Amino acid sequence: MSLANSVGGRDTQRKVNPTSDRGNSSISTVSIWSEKIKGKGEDGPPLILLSEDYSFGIIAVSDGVGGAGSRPVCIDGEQASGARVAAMKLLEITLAFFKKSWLQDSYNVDIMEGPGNIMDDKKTTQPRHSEKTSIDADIHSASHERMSHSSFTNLSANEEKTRLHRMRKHQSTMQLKPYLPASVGNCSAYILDGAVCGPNVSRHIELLGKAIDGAFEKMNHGIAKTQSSSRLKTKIQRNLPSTLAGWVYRTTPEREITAFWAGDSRCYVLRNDGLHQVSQDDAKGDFDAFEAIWADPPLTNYISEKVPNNIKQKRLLCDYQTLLICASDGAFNYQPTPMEFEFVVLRSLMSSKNMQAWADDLAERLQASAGDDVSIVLHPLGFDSFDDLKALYKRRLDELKEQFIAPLEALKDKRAQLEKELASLKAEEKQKTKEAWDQYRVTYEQYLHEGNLI
Amino acid sequence: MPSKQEAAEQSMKYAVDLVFCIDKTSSMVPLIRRVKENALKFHEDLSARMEEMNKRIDELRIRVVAFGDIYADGDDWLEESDFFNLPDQIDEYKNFVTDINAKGGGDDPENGLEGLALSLQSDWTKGGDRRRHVIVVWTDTSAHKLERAIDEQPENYPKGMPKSFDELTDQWDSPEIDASARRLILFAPDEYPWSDIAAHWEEVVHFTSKGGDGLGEMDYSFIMNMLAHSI
Repeated sequence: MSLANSVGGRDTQRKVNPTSDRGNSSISTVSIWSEKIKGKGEDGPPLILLSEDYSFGIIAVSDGVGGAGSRPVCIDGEQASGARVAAMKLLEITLAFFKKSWLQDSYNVDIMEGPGNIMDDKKTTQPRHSEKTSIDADIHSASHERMSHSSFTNLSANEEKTRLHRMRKHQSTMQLKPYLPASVGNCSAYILDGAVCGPNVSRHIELLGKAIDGAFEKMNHGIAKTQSSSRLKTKIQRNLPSTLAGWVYRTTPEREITAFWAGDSRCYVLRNDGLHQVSQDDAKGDFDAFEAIWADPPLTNYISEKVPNNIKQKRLLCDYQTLLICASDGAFNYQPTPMEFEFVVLRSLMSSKNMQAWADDLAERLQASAGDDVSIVLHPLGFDSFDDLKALYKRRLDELKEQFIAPLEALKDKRAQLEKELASLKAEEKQKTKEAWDQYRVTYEQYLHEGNLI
Repeated sequence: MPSKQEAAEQSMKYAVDLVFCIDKTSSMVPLIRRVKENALKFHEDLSARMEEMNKRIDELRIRVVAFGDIYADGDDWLEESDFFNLPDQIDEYKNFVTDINAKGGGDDPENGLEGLALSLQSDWTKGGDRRRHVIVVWTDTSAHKLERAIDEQPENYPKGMPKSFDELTDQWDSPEIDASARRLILFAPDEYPWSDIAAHWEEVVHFTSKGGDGLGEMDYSFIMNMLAHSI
C-alpha cells in the first residue's frame, strides 16, 4: 500500500511504513534542503510530521531573515547568526508543539470550540497570557488552559470518561518514528504513532503561535544576557528573525488543508490545472508574484523575538489529487517567472524514474539558479503511485509548455540568435574596418615616413 | 539541466549605487582621513560580501556629496560629484575623495539635512535585475533645521530642498524612492536629526558616533549584511 492510498482516504485501516517499500513506483514526500554557503545557511531543515496512517500531517519550512538577523547570537553554547538560529529553532518548536498537541488533548480544543469555517482567512489571536515560559512549559500551559476550560463544557460523564480513556491510550502508545522521505540534504521527518488530529486545525495553529512566542521570548532573554551592547540603532535588526510556511492537512471527515505562514516563504498547491499560490507574502508594496521576483521587497511580518508573532492561515477543502508545497524564497524566487517555477518542478518530475530521482533532479535544477539557500517540501495527496503522480501532471506539463514556456523560449532563442548575429556583425565590421584602414593607410601614411611632397 | 554557464547567465544581476554624504567641516579634521579611507574601501567590502552570497554586482556606481555649512561657508559649502562608474572611473573617484579637505563650517550644527536631501535626489540606477540604492552619511554633529532656509535663504541655497524634516521624511517614503533598494547608513552622533531618522525611517542603520569613530568589526559586518541581504 502506498502513502497516497491512505492520504486519499482509501484503505485507511492498513498501516504500512512507507520506508519499507521503496520500489520505483512507491510514493513519498519530497524534501530538499541546501545551503548556499555550507555551514552558514539560514533555512531550517524542512519539517515533516505524519500520522501513522498518513491521514493527517504537517510539512513546514523556515528561512532566517539574513538582513535583520545577521548579528551572531549564542544559544546552547553555539554561536551562529540570529537568522540561522531562528530558522532552525522555529521548526524544532513546531515539531514539539504538534507532537504534544496531537498526542495529548487535542479533543479538548475540538469539543470546546467546534470545527472552524472552511475557506476562510484568519490571523492568529493575541496570546492570552504573556509570561515568559519554556517551549514545553508554554505548550503545557496551553494544554492546561484547555483542560481547565473543558470543565465548563457540557460533556456527559460518559463522554468525559471516553475522552480520558482515549487520551491515556494515546499517551501510553505515543511514539515518534523516523520517516524517510525522498530527500536531498537534512530534514526532520517523523511518523507519529498514536496521534489524533481533531477538526480544529485553525486553533492548533493559533496555539503554535503562542508556543513560538514563549520559546522565542525565552531564547531572547538568554541572548540578551550574553550580548554586548551595541551602538547600532535600527528598526531593522532582530535577534531571531525567520519566515515560516507550512501545511497541515487531514483527510477525515473531509479533505481539508490549512496553509500557515509568516513572511515570504510560500504555500502552494499544484493540481492538474496548475500551480496555485495560497499564502500571501508579508511584504511591503503591492507586488504580484512576478513583480516580487525583481522587486525583492522588504518583509512586513515574520517570526522574531518581538512577540506576539502573527502567523496567518488559510483553510481550503481539497477533493482532488494535489501536491502540497511549502518553500523558502530560494526555491522559487530565482526562477524568471512563477510559471517557470512550475515548469522546473514538473519537468523534473517527468524526467525522473522515482521519488528519490525526482528529489535529486529537482534539487540540482533549483540550486543551479538559486542565489540563496533552498528548502522545499512537496507532499502528494491522493496518489496511488509515482506513475499515478506522473500521469496526472503529464498533460499539465504539456499545456504549460505549449501555452507559456515554449513561446517565451522561442523569444529567448530569437533574442539569443539576434545577439549572436549582432556580435558576429560587430566582429565583421571591426575586421573589415581594419582591412579597409590597412589598405587606405598605404597612401595616407606615404609621406609620414618618406621624403618631401612632390 | 542548465550548465554552470547558463546558470550564471540566469542568476540575478545587481545594480548598486552608493552615495557618500560626507561632512567636510573643520571639526571633522581628526576624522576625515579615516572617513575617506572608509569611503574608498566601502564598495570593495560590499562587493566582497555580495560575492560571498553569490550575488553578482553587474553595475556599480559611486557619487559623493561633501557638505559644510552654507550659513558660514558661502559658495564653498558643497562639493558634489556625478556618479562614477566603477571600475572604469576608479581613479577619478579616488581623486575626488582624496581632494576633500575638512575646513570651514563655523560652529555646530551643519547642513547635513541638505546634504542628505541632495543625496536622496540622486539619479538612481534603474538597471540590473535587483538594485541597491545606498546612502552613507559621515558627520560628527547635528544639522540645521531645514526650516531655517525659509527665513534666511542664502542665494546659493540649492533648489528643490524639502522645507521641513517631515517633507524630507515624505521624500524618503515617496514612490520615486525604490523601497526595496533603499538603504541609509548613518555614522553620526546620537543627536537631531540623526536619532530621529533612525527612530522613524525604515531601512536605516544608525551607528551612534562621531563620523563612525569606534566602529567595531561586528557592527560593520551587520551593516554589510544589511546591504547585501534582502530585508
